[in-house]
Amino acid sequence: LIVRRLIGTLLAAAGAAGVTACLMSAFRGMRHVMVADGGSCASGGPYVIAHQCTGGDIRLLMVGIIGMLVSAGFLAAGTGLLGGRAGLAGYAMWAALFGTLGWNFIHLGQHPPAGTGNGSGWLFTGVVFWVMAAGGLIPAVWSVVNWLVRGSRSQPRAAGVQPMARAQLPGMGGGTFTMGGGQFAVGGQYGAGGQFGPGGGPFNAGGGQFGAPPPPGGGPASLHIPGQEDAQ
Amino acid sequence: VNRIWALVWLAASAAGVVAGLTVLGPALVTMLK
Repeated sequence: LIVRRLIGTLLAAAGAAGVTACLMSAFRGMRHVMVADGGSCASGGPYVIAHQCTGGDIRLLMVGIIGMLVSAGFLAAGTGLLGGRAGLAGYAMWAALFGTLGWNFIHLGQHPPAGTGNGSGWLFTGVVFWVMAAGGLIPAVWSVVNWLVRGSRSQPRAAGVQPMARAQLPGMGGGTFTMGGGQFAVGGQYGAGGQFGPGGGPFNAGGGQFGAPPPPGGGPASLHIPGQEDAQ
Repeated sequence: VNRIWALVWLAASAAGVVAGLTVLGPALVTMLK
């Protein structure tokens, strides 16, 4: 287990480093295109291109994007090996990607290069990017806090907690479908005084007995659901 | 115990981010530019 955790730690560190480095690469490539070419460039095709993409921009963007995805895979693997949710890496990468690139739009929208208009379009795009970044940041922070406060998804069930429902089949000693009265309220976690809901509902009636014993002779157990007998 | 590994994950990720910002990122940009 220790070896697994150690590998997870190394993978998480390497993945985070790779994501950061590749994000920096994409950030620099995008920024150069925005400053030097007004935000768009092209290569090839039958038309005369006003802004040719430079080889450096293409390399920065392509290596940045693809490398970031690969690095995020390492980060996710490391997170999983350490007992966290692998999706946490995806959320974090999403937030970092849109947050960083959104900064490009917002900063250059406030200080537009010459010949690129007043920058309002970039500002709007930057705000949209930051809203999208929040969509990844919030679940990422939530996942980390959850991991820190409650342990991980692999945390074993607390000892002593009884199952919510327990069925005993005919011939196995009883035949009563028992709804553990008060199981929902162990320690007062889910309600008051063992009640399933405000005021207590039929699910809790009878102090945990949710049905009737089976007929003599070992027939199938039947559930007694209040209110349904009338309909029949 | 799992909380310790959560802290380890945070520390490892933070170290990776710092390494990416200070060493790997600039080196990658210089190489690709």
